[in-house]
Amino acid sequence: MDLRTDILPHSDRLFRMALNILMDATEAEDVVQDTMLRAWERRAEWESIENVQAWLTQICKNLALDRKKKMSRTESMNAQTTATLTTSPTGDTEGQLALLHQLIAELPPPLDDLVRLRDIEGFTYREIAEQLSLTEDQVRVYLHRARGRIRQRYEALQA
Amino acid sequence: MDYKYIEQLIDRYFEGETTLEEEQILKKFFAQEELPEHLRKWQALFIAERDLAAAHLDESFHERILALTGEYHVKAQPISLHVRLRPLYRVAAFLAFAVVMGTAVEYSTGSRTEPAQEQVAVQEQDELNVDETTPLDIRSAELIPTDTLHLQ
Repeated sequence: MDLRTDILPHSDRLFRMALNILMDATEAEDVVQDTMLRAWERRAEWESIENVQAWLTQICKNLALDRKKKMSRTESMNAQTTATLTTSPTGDTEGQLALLHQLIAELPPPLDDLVRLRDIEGFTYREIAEQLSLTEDQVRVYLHRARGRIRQRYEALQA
Repeated sequence: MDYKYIEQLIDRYFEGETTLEEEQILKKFFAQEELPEHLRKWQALFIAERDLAAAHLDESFHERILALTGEYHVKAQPISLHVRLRPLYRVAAFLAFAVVMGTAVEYSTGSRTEPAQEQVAVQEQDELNVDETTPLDIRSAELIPTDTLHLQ
């Protein structure tokens, strides 16, 4: 395995996950950097890792949740970051991301990860099953459950 | 306009029964600015998913990680023979130009004889190059113009 070809290509996906958890692009970028450096420190383990993507996701998620706890308040998007967000046609990217953050954050594991993998990353049921160590049937059932909760919560927020 | 298909897709989406392609159709549909009133409430959700899916790190992020881990190596690019010889091409072109210009200047100043004239000049020179063994008077006689000779 190689840092350049096997680890770094996951950084954008990890960034989106961290951004969804932290709601701050600069903090999310820092978390992905820490994830990459942590993975590099543990490079002796690389050959024994079966699913690199799941391994990196777990490191990144733990780091993001730790940082989330330390953050006393949600900061606005930092203009200095190198990260890029597409401008929404409604012009309220930050507000919409906050909404999605809230909807997903309220889901229990593994429903939160499942929704991120499906709705943000566009993975198939099989790919999600491999990453979360679930069966495809479980993925379908959990996705049904997760979206049902999202609909309920979303309609409550809209009311 | 009939939005039955979109309404069905939304219901199937929340049931977790849509395919990835159908979910893309929903995201594209809700990216429009003009939407019917009863569907507008779902716009923020699908736009947020689409926007978050488009978020990415700058290209310099990879370089930074490679630098921090000491793995930043600039790959040596193979250089073709053509590229290696490029400086020589310039020298050769300059030399060719200098030769052409030199020749042109030489002709224009008349310091160099035309080939035909040169041949005539050589012939004349040959005629003048008389054998050293020839007696001096004969050589002189050959050079005396005929109109100066007085025959007795």
